[in-house]
Amino acid sequence: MSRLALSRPIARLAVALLVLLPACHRAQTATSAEQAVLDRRRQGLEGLMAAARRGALLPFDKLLVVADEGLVRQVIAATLPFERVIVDRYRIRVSRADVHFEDGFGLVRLDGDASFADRAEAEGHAEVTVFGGLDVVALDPDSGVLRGSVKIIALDARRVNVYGVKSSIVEDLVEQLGRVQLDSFSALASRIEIPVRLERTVTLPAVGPGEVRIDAATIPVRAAVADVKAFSGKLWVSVDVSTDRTTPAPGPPSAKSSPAPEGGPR
Amino acid sequence: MKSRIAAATLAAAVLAAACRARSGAEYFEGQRAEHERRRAEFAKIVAGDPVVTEALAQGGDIILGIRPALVEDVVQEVAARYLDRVALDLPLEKQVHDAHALTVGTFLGKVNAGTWTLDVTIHRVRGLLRARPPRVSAAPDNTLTVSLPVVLEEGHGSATVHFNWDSRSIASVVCKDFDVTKRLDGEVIAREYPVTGAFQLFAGPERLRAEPQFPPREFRIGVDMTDKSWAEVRTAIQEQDDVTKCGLGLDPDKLLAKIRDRLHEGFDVKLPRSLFRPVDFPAAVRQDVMIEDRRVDLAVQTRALRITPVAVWYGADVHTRIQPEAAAAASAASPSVK
Repeated sequence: MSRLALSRPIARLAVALLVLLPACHRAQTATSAEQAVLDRRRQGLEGLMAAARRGALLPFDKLLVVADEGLVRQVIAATLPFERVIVDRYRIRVSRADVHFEDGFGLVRLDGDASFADRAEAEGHAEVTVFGGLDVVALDPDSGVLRGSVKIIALDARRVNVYGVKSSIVEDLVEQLGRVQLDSFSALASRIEIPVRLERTVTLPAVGPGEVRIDAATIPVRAAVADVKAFSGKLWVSVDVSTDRTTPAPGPPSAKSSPAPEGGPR
Repeated sequence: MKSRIAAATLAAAVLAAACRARSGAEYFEGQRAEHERRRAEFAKIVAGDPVVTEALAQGGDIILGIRPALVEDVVQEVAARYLDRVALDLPLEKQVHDAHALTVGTFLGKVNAGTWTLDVTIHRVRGLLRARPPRVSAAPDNTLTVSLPVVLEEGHGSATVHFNWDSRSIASVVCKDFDVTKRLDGEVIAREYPVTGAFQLFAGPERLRAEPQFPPREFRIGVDMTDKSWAEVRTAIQEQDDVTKCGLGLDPDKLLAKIRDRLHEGFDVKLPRSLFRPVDFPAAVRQDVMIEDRRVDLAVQTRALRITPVAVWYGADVHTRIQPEAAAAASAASPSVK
């Protein structure tokens, strides 16, 4: 067999591979993101099942705050569309948002477009989907606002070919986005507030001047998030709340004190 | 021959890669199916959880569940703090009146010498209320009953004592009338007063609110006079204690004891209603939130309060004040990942 004859089948295979490879790459990116989300959900569901087995699905000793996924979705959606530049190089324009509180996992999904920050978007852009988990929910120490922190767990970047024409810029963009640290995308939605505030004091306004005068008083309230779970489309936040106990007021001198006859109602 | 081997190896490699991808997809689908099975199991657990079912039944975008113990704690603390140091300054102008006929023995036998009249006007009482630890218990109609002993201490005030002796006509030959008026300082006798009422829970615009419901009620307050004031009264009576004013019939000790008894009986005072104020619970639904550096204004509409043995449930429907088209489109268009 001639050298030419040997190279012909190899060339055919190479062409076939070249044709198939981008499709494989696309499938792999999407699959890995879906796999990451599924992994988190499986892990979260296991945590819920274990808590339920312990009889502690929802630790609820004092206060329970329940936030609907629709509300958080609506709140994020109200800020759309918005743009952020990631690592000073990529412009991300977020145009859609979705939130799911299921399986012990608070999924925040942002969809949009990515392009090079130093180029016009028309030169080439890619579709991106960022998957994040509402990981930490805590009370802001100053304002008492319930605040969630989103940790990015996966990114799916897809090339967009204009009129079926492949663009090397887009190829490059998708390739580079795949290598950017996931944490860098946190700038898109790392902090999400839940519209609930736990105040640090109960304020009793002053009374008077007049027949009765009471000085204003504040009762210190201690509050801390004890547990957070996501299921049934809700975020369930258990909060430990306690008031500072008052020292009982001293009684009057016993020599001059006597039980009062009840005058009323008269 | 070599070329065929090379081509076959390459084909096998491509096939293997394809197979691996296919088995990976199958594995993923298997995991997903297993996950769905576990979800169904968990759904059954959730359906049997009383806290979850009650919260979901309350409805609303934000639900606050407050354990009755916490509500009681807060109300107890508020009642204790509020009534711990209440300064009262009551312009009373309360009258205490007493009159007695006096019989004296004379050489003509016992005769009605006359009538003494006592009028005490308590002008003002200033005092300090202190509360003992209250008891709080749940009651029907979204209320918590509160019962707490309140001690009125450090009370003092001013009073005018008017003592009048009106002699009878026969006795008046020798017994002259007299009339004594003294402005004196008094003090309130420290006593413990039981105060009972209730706090009714309402769904306020942003939070749970407890409205006080303490019916108007009067309390009997006993007063006394300072030692200095008693001395002044005694002197005034003793000044009349001579023959021309039938002093022989007036025993200052007895008279003072009568006056004291009457003052100790006290008078009724109504506690001002302004003593109690509504109490807002420290958990509130906010009217705005921040997403990163972007502020979103919210409209909050409260749902009816629901109280069960498990919790006090406060729910609110919350909507963004601006509804851009993109926002509406976002939730509808974005597919969920499962």
